[in-house]
Amino acid sequence: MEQEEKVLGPIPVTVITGFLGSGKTTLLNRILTENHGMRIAVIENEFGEVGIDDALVLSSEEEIFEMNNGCICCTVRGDLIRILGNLIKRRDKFDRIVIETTGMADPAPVAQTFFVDDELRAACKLDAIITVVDAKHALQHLLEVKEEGVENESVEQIAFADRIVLNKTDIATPQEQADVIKAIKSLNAGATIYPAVNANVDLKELLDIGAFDLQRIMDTDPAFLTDTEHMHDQSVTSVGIEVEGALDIEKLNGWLGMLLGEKGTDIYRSKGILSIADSDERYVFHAVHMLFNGEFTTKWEDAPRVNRMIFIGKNLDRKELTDSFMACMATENSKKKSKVKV
Amino acid sequence: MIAVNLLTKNPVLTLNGINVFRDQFCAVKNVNLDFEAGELVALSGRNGAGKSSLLLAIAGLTNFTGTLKFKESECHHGHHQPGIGYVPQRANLRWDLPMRAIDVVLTGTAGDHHLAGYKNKSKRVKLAWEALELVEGSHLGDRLLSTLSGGQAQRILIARSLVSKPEVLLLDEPLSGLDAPSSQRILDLLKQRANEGTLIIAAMHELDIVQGHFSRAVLLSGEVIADGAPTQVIPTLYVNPTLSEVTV
Amino acid sequence: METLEATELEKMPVSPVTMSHAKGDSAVILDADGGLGSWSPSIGYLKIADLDSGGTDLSVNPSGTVAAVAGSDGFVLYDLVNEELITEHRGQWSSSVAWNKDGSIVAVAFGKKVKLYTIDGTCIRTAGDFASTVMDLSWLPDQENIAVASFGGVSIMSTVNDVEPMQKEFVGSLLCLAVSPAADWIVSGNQDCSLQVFKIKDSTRLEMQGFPRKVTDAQFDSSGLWLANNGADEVTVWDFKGKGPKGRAPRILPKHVYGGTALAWHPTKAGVIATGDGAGLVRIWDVAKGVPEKPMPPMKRIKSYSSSEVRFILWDSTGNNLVVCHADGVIYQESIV
Repeated sequence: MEQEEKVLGPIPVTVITGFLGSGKTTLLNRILTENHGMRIAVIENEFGEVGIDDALVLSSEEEIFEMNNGCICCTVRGDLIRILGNLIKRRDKFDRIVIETTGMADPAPVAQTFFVDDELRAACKLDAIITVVDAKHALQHLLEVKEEGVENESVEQIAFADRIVLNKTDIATPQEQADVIKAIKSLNAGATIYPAVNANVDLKELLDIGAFDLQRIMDTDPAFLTDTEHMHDQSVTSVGIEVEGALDIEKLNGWLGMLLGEKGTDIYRSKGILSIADSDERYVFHAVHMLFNGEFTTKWEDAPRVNRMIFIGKNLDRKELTDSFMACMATENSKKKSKVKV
Repeated sequence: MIAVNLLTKNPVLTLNGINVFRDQFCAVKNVNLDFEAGELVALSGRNGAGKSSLLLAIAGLTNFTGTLKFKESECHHGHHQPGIGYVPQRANLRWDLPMRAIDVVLTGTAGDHHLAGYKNKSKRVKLAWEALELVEGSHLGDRLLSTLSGGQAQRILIARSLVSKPEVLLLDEPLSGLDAPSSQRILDLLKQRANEGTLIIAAMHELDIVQGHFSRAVLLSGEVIADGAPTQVIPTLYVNPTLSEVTV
Repeated sequence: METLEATELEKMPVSPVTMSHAKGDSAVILDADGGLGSWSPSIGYLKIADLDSGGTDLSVNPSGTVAAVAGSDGFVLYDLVNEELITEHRGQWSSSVAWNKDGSIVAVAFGKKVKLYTIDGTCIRTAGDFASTVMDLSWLPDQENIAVASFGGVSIMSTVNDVEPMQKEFVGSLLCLAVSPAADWIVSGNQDCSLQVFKIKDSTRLEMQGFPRKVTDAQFDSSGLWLANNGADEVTVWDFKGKGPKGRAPRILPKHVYGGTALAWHPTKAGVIATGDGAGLVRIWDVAKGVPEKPMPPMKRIKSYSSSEVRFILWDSTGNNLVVCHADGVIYQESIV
């Protein structure tokens, strides 16, 4: 008989990124001091920044390892493997783990560590990546032009985020705030933005959010797909598609399968709520790299049948994506065809 | 039908002067191979020999030059052939998503003309459960991905590719991480599919298993360096597991 | 037949990490919170000290009087006789501590450096900067050189002369080291699920890639003829006789659920090894009786009192008894004869 796995559930892990001075530590302190009843183990990048007696605090110095001859997907954080490996052995001491990264940290190796290492993959689950952004100064970091081949870390941090805390809104002018929000949305239209002063965001919005949960996509602000302008010379974008009508699921499935297979490494995340011909239920879809999941959920009832879809990633071609998406719309013929098959 | 295929030696898949590029490197060059229906082929060679790249090219998932024909029709990069199924390497995928195993199998109903039409979810779900049963994974269907062992996860992935009943099944290291009994089950299953006419091409590093179970082995090292019956081809390299010398 | 329930057994409150022989039949145990305890078959578990740092490694000097303890926040030397701290150094991750054979010097991995201390806590040498945090240390049999594992390979550094370390390069993250008793081979288990085997006297390197899991434990037996490593549901045992293991099929010890989590060669009998797995099972094997490549049956299965992962197995000096330590804190001794 097959041996069953251990029953202890995976430990939820929240990653906090953000540039120096954005207020990461303020947010971390808030998470540690607020009365939420959770015991939190913290991995922070500099020792002694956070001084909470009860919290289990470990310091880390970023050590990035390329696992396999320079393949980007195999770049992981050696320090996190070590530290989390030790924390796993004390798992009865805490309920969740929060990782604070340095301002310059690339979030990709952090996220990849959780599925490249077999031990961590089994013991932990990435709950969400939260990026803290300084409302007044972020734009200049985002617009900074880097040398060819050098990633702009602030861009990556926003592209990978599930939640963005727009901090220090008290010192930014309304125009500055509007500009930075516009820039954030052009990079990652899928992340929810929380304006804050002293990182005063309701922690329920940041912890245990299950950023990959399908229901959460349904609940996302419908405005998340508003079309945005590209920032100057930017390879990371998000492409939102919003169109009324019904899709031919046959064409859609074929297209998505091909797209994610081909560009899975470039597309960090994609998600959508779709209207399918001959179905009165919403089709909710979510993918990370090439692994994707879609299912019919709630009925449309009287709501307008609008397809909403978003891709976040590198080198996305808005026109190509939109055109190929539009090519999946049901025609009268395909409607009949699929009717016959059902 | 299958017998005719074998007699007339009609290749189901033809590779002619294929070069596969990965990030500007040529991962494998000048591949000329014919495959017939019902063959159980192992692609072997060390890490970096080009096994995965060649599979991706056949699956239409990466750029290549040369001519690749599936049943007489030419294949191109980016054009998914519905008759070709691909099982990626388990380690390259994310298993921390809050999805059930059956949901992953269900995604195998996408991209296939016969199944995608079943917008009726219960039908697709039924097919997915049947595929799960093929890999003896029915009891895993409702489990969360994060609770699956490596071996169980691999079986889920294989089930995902079997949903669409492909004519060519490509597998990247399908036995990696499986224990002996699970490996045996998967091998039996692959053999059964091959007997029913499916061409199966698997990147394999378990050379002892290739010798014992596969009908043909293609050895790669940036190009095809040997092709033939596993018993003739394999001993010329190394028998796995083994410590092989690394030349710097 | 009388059976003993796990609940009646001595159980540590915190998950153990590793253990080491101490005086007489007692052992010292380090837990994941940095707690130091003693264990003996007659008394059971007793907490000695709290070192307030995630525990990673432990080494007790040959006379059983001083414990070197490594942790996530540094290391300490602890006097087991007078139960007091000799010295402590904090602020860097420490993965490994190792006493030399006569107990005069302890080598300590401290961040990217290696430090040498005498038994009274005096630092006599600091070496490094290695390419990453040092993951493992091992004294060579000459008791003069130390093998150091970090990202990018193994460095063999002298503890007496100020010479450039000898480098054994391998681009990858090393996790554990083993040095053969005759000082001809160094082996590393690696994060990329490979085993690397370096010949010390020339640049020969052998490798086995493609283990299903990372290789976190590799050990030579007392004769140096056999090397066992984890990384799969099977424990793999390589034959190092004569010219070495190149091209030789290994012995396969099958059926370790979640892999071989603890390996311990018999202190004197060549080729006899105890292995523990993720489901709490401990088996003893005589690898010489196996056939290359074919999974072999175990010589003996130990009665297990816990189904949690086996963390550590310790033979006593006679080789007649085994102490088994599980992740849930259950510890017991079993007689093998």
